[in-house]
Amino acid sequence: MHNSASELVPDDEELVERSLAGDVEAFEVLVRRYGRAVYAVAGRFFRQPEMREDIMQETFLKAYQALHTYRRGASFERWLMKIAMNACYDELRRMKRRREFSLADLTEDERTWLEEALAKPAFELFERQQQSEDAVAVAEKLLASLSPEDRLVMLLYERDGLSTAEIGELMGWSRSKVKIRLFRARRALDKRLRRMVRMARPASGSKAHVDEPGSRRSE
Amino acid sequence: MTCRDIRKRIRAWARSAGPEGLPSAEREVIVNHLLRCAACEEEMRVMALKRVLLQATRGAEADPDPALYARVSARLRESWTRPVFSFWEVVRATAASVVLVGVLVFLLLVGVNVYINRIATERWDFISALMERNLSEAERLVFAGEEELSPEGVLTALASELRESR
Repeated sequence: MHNSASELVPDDEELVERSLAGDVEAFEVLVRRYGRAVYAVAGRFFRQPEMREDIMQETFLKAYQALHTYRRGASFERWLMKIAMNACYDELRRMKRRREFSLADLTEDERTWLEEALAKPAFELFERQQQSEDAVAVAEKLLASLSPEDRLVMLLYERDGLSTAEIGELMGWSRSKVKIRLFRARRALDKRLRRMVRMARPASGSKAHVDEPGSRRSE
Repeated sequence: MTCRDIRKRIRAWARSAGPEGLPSAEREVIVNHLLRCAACEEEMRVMALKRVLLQATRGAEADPDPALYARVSARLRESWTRPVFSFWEVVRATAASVVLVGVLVFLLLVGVNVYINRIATERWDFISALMERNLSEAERLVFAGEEELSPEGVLTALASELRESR
């Protein structure tokens, strides 16, 4: 007679029960099972490995301390991801926020990268994504001027393509709160980007706004 | 296609894969529009730059260092000595502690009260006895415990009383 797969590999709920009964090894199985996913969540907001490691440590410690609040029958992974997201959010709030973004904050190399990127035709800039350390540095400085909430929703919605419902569920926010935050975050980021484009790129000449029927100028 | 349509499209690109895969006819319409419209061209740059910068912040899809699991386990084991209580266990333990402390305080108060009453009664009885019996100084001293119950002490007090009565 042989053991079935389910007997060999305990499910999440069983491991949670054993952890609550004081079995530390059962919780370590959960750490190994979801460590990579938690590390990936931290990677959405922090590139530095040390920062990601801190988030991972904090997430599992919080999960252990709050294990009694895990509702039986719910997805353990989803419950854990919420804790990880909130750990990231707490870390973003702890980080020092820049008052405002200015081109003067950029180094010579970063400014050169920006000017070269903006010198290209707009379509080319859109289509040929260049990953460079200078781009990362410019992005980090730009995002550091946003509030933690704006930064979080911008990355999750605009970059990672999560829906407002998904963000709401992960953060424990109502959908309307996510939408309001998103509106404010977009307005704040676009304002900074527009200023960056105007300052880093000399006026392109005498192009006028095209008056087409039904057209509407933006601000 | 109006400026409004074009900007709506451009903003959607910032979040999606960008204008790749756009049908060539549509692409030509948009390119021509951007060549003539400075406002839409600027919007295109703003959205493109937004996409480039946001994508640049995406961390590498790296796996955690295998040693990290050991470090997490070590920290967990440090805090593992504290037992994990459920909500109702915490409520029960708190209620039991409150009841126990309450009983102890009650018993203490009762004990103190009994002791004080006993002392007060004894004192009162003693004072009453002194008043009623009009005891001599020697007896008072003996009853009050201010003088040792020795023959010398009693004799000294009696001698002093005799002197005063003469």
